Amino acid sequence: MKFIKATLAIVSKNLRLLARSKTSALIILLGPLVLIVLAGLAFDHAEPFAITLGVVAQEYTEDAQLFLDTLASNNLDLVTFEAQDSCTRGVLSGEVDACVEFPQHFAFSEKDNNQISFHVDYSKVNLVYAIVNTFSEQVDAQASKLRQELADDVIGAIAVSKDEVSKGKPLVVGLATNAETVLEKSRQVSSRFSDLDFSAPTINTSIDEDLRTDVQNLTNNTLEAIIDALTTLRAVRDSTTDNSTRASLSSLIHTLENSYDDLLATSNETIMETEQALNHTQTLVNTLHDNAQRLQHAGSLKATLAADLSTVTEQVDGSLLLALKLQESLNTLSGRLDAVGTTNAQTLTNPVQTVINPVGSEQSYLSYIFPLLLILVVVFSGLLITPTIIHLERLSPAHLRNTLVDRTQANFLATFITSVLIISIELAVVLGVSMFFFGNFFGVLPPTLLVLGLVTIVFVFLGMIIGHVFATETTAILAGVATTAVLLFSSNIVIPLASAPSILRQLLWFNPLNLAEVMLRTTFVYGHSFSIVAQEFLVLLAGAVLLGFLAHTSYRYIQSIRL
Amino acid sequence: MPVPVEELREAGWPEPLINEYLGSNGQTQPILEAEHVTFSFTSKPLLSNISFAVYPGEIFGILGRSGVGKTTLLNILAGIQHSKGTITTKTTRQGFSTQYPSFYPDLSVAENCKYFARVAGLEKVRLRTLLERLGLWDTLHTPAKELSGGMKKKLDLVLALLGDPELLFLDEPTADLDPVSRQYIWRFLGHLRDQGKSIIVATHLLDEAEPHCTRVAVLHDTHIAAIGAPDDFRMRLGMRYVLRVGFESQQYGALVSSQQHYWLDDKQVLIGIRTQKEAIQLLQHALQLGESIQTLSIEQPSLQNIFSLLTQ
Repeated sequence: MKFIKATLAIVSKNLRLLARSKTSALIILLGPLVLIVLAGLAFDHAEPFAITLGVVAQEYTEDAQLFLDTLASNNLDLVTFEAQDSCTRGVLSGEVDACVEFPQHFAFSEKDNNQISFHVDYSKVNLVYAIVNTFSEQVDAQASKLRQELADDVIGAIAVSKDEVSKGKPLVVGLATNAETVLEKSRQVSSRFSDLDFSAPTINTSIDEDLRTDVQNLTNNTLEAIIDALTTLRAVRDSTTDNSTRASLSSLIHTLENSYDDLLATSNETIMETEQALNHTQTLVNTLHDNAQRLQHAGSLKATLAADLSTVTEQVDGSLLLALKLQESLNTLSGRLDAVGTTNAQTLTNPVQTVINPVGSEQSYLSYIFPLLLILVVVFSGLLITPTIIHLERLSPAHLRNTLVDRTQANFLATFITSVLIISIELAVVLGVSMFFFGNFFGVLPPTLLVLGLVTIVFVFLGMIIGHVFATETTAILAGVATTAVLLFSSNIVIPLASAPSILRQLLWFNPLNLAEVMLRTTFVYGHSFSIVAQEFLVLLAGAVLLGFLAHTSYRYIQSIRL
Repeated sequence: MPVPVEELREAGWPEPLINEYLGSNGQTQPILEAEHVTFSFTSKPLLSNISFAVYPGEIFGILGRSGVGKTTLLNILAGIQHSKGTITTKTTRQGFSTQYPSFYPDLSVAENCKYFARVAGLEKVRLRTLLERLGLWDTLHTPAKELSGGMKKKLDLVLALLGDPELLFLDEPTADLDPVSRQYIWRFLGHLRDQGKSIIVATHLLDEAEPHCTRVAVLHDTHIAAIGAPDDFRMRLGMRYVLRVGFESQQYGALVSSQQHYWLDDKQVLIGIRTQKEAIQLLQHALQLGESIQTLSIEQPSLQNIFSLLTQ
């Protein structure tokens, strides 16, 4: 509690002293105010700079003319040159700021003829961006048109494919269904076919001779029996004296004789009929024999047919499998085609539709340099005011008494808090005044404040290190200015980092000024989500921790050797 | 390294002061003890092997010429400056008043007092009593930079006393003050001593310190030339009187040729005298020198005289 009270007392004292020093109060409050007002008045417009542009073109194609008309409509002064050399000399002599050269058949859509070359003094390379900015809308529109045409073709092809697949899907389903049916039927036929019995019994073709003999023998035996009976009856009649008996016997004999005659006649007919029947039977037997032979042949063909049927079943089965696979592929293809939600070429050519809430006039230069302004406020305050606070305390008549009280940690923390508070006040002034130019930007304020908070901590710690390490206020201020200059020149702000060698570029990426500029541009200007700059934020956070450790270490070291 | 009682008695200390010096149980317990303190700037030694002790209820003077290392020694004793050797203090309640007032000129008297009280973690401060006693209550809301030199010194003293310290370090507390303010400050320090506080004063104003300091240490040429009570010095040197003779020109050779203790002060020569008889002989001798003598006086030897003798 005592520590907190002591820290707050020191912070309060620091702020009170700064407030009572009119010069420092003016610098702290009016400095950023003047900065933002001047920058606001100077850059809060969308007008192009007063650029004189040299133009070299062997042929003024329609696209080239469109390009030049766009530049001219943006108040750029265009000076036509016959040859590139003379245009370059114009740049060197200052007659023109930059030179733009068109290929002979300049056209946006032709790969080999759509390259525009700028010739510019390297120190004025930013002018190229300004020029490009003025016609980027036209180029973008043209590029967008080309992309849209291409996308239309692609989407058309997709649509046709989709239709064809849709049409083909029922066919394949029908094909598969048919194959299934055929397969089922084949299996049934095969099953039933195997149940067929083509085996034929052996037929004896000699049956007719025995039958005929048997009938004849039977007839003959019967006739002989009748004759024997007649003979016997006659003998009996002849031996009989009784007339009635005789008469009866004679009648019987007569009957027998009639029967015999009838039998004989009948037997002849029967024999003849039997003969005929046998003939017919023979014919039937022969026919049966032929049929049996055919059946045997059919039986021998059954095995072959069964093998063929098995082959057919297998083929149908395979076809069905293929049909199912084809159906599955078509389903997948159809699903993918259905999943293509983008069916509009404009959406395809501009896949990310980002809505950026304007923080002012969208084309204002101020919005682009505003992050830089904020960073400069933080950097200069952090690297100049923090060492000044440290040395003000060190040079103060009260320094000895403070040393005697020995609130080392409280003093360190209080210096940090004081610097952060001062920078916060400055940023509040800048942000407050900037609302006049940008309007309401509360939407992007939370991530911006988060980034600014971290950047402030980083540069306050850096300023504290400078304040501790350098023995006098003058050397500390010089070191602060030098550090600022080094950070500025090794950032993307003065010279594009892209122009640096690869290894150096990777190292310079860690420049806190650079990280801060990227984060603020992303969050404040473009209004993107904070997550996009999470990597930069974490790197800067690690830097803050490291610098905090170094600041504390340097503070402890200086305290120990200066007592 | 306590001073033997006999030595204190010989030095003419009153018994109550000796008792206070020894403590209630008659044992001497130093509130601060310095042993073998050595300090140097680069290769040039400033303090060599300095040892002494300061006891409760005493005003201990560190005397010496400008640049001899009084402030450095005081800073070392207060723990502001590192040195070789050992400093032992029995209390953490310490106050420090620097040669040049140590506060924020842009803050008012009240703001300075509140600030240092809070930073020191003091809960209750009898600020009004302190400010009234030192005559600063009416300037409560006056910016410190608008105070007079004397008032600034008083404010610095108030800040040193905020924590009711038992041990007070004062560096030239009366420098650049008018005689009235000087007397006021010394009286106030005497009052603090009477309250049992121990005060270590570094000053070059020897005559001013003499009547108020219980003991003094004379710093000379990196070491302590002498330490003890002022009367003790006189006793040790056996010097009861000092003859001060002013010459038109530096024609004092004949007068001092046979003297053991003499020193020069501008166009005056000061001669230490042991006995009354010796004083009469010297006066006669001086009178014989005739018109070359401009002034002639005989006086009690002051601490300044002793200091000059010790450091010549």
